[in-house]
Amino acid sequence: MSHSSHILICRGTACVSAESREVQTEFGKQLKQRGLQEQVRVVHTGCFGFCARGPVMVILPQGTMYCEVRVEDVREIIEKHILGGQTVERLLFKDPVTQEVTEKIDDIDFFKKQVRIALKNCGHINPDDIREYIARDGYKALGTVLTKHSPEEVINIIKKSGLRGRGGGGFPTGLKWELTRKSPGKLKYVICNADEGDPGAFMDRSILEGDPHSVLEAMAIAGYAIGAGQGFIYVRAEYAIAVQRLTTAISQAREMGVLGKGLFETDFEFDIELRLGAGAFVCGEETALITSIEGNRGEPRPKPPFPAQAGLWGKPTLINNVETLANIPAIILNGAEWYAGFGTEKSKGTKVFAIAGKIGNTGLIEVPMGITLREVIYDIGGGIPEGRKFKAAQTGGPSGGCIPAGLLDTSIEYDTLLEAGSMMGSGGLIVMDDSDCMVDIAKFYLEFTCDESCGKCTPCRVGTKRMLEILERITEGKGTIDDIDLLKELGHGIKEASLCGLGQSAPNPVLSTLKYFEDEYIAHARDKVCPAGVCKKLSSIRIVPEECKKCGACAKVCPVDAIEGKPRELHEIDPDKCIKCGKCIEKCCFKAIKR
Amino acid sequence: MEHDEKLTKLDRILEQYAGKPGALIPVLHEAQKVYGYLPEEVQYHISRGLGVPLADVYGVVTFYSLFTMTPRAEHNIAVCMGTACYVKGAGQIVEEIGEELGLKIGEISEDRKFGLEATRCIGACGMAPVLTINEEVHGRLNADQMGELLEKYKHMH
Amino acid sequence: MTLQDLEQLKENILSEHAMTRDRQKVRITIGMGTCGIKAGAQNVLSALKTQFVDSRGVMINHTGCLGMCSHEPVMQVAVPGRPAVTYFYMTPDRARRIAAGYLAG
Repeated sequence: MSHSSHILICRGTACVSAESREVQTEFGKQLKQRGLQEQVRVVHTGCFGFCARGPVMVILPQGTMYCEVRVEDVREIIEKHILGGQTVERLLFKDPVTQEVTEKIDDIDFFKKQVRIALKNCGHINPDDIREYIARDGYKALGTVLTKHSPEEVINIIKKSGLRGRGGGGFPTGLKWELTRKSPGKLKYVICNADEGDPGAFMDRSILEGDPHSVLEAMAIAGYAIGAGQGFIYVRAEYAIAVQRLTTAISQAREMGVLGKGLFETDFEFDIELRLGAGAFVCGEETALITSIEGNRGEPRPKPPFPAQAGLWGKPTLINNVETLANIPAIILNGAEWYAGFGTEKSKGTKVFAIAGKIGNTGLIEVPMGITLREVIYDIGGGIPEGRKFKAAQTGGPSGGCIPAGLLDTSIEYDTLLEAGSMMGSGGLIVMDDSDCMVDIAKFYLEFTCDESCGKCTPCRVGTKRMLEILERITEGKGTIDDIDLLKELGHGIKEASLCGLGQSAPNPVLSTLKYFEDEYIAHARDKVCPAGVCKKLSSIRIVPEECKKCGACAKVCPVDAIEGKPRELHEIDPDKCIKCGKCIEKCCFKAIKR
Repeated sequence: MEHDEKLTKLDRILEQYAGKPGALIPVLHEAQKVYGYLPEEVQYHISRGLGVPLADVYGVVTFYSLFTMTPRAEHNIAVCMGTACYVKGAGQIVEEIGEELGLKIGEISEDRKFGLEATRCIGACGMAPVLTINEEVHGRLNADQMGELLEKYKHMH
Repeated sequence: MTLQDLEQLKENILSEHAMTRDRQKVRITIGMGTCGIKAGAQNVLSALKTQFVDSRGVMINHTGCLGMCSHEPVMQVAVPGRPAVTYFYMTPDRARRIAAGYLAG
């Protein structure tokens, strides 16, 4: 009988001094006791090169590497790994430099607190092969709905599930379906809003790239429920891979007979057309998106009438976001009660977040509603790197706001986030540490909305520009304390008076940072200091004489020759020449240069 | 407008979308793929082909940031004009490139091979002066090296 | 197609998968979301495909983003009867080495 597992134990000098020989003997002993000596072969090898973490061992065929294995660990490795097929997590190898980890995926902290419903297939199936989707119960929800439920029953299931729009607004999805169904008219449309534009958000892109069929299937279900035969996916042209996978998915679905005429041998027909955006953030707003599909400048229209009443080409239209749709097949297959079992009373189910910024694990996560920000940032995200301090989390992108450290235990729900002065938004979550300037962050988002304002209504077009000018003034040291009140007044005015969601939410990043970090605004405007040292005109760089070792490295690296002094002389920075690029700070080995 | 290969392609696109509602934006996407940009003549042709007023075509082209009415150069040279680069002689570099290619800032050479522009600080102050050609960063430059650097791109497609 | 046909199709696909799995020693899946591709997943995939072009023991597939974008390119290796192992920060070289290691046993 051949050996099904090999245990390689390092017998390099360092590991032997760390008792690797004893570990090997113990393995031999325990395997024999269990009669496993035929299946598992223990061999010793030369140095693996990870001497600092010895004794090191590798189990083949999985290639799992364990570090700092003690005699006491042998039993656990045999029971859990060899017999149980599980990885012994605490002994896994983590590269201290790259944080490279090799282990079984479900055991990672990153995945432990996640509940993957919308993302259930992402990273598990080949998105270019419809058969892999079908193998995981793909299109079964559509088939069930068409053959076993009336449209009203489908709407009831979605209503009971408590699903709310995941694009930002949080409007109850079932109610939206019902309103569109009840609108008079024979011709109706389903639109999937895949115009994901928030900087830092890529949930929808990942779903379209990783599981395009789930969106197609959900659109067909929605079409059946509201009485539509045609769907459109409005997707950003910038998402080239998503566009390509969607194109493949649509043609495979037509070939397979799950899109088109007479679906599941009923008289229901549904087809989907792809429409590409052309680089306009405002088109994520539903009425602007409709105008864009109609072939016009993507400008929003006043509501009412809502799209459910008069949408695309004046017909009743259902618009749902990608993530909302991706939940639908799972809800149909598992039942409304199952879905409503996740989350909280008013926010059911799960939400996908794209976490980025000053955080250990940047990436895409799906968590049950009601989880706290702290759990997301520390348990899943791995905390703040470089030993820095958490300052704020930005949710909702340019429409949202910042949540400060004091509110880290806020649970993630539509209403609690609104109360905190931010919003759920589409799911961007950017973490900031103490080296980030909140005024600068607010300015960044306002630059974005100012640039993307479509220009149709004055409060948004002119108002965001004026707000941006004030912020520029403040960050350049030309602001006054009155500017802060002016910002608040303008911000509230723009929120009240703008036509669409873009303008109504554009002041949020400023207003929420003003709420929690007004002291930073005051420092900029009154004291002409940027506490985080980000705003260049308001920070200075100086050399601390006691700590300077007079090596001259800073003078050499300075691009503008602002540092006086030769080696072995005390250095000083000429503030008039210094452009605050920070190269000298990076270069100084003694940390003698400070902002 | 000259009758050439590109126009034949455009006509085929127009035929394919004829009568479809909301066809303008998809047609503009396709036309830009063919021409690289959307000059007035192309917009006029599309307007006639789809029966959409030229003003509407122009309105849509200028609304969306992915549509452009100026041709893009094959190699786009962006010289950083941040303070550090400026102090380190970015001005001379612009002059030298301008002389070599006969271009001013914001212009594109007649053969559309090179475009020249000035950008804000790109954050590579330690390598000043810096320029990027396409996405590639070139740093610690002096004006004398420009001829050699450009020569490389002249033969690149 | 009826609902029964769909169920039947699913069963067929599953048993087909099981059959190929038996013939294969190693199943490798590369994450090919935008994050993975930007981090060089295409090179990893091509390297594996050229390396194992005639090898019946290896099946190479691609999938979307797993969510750990900061650890891309990500490669999952599954051996029948064993938990799948996920590798991060793949390079064409490492991928070839790891795959060859699995094949050798």
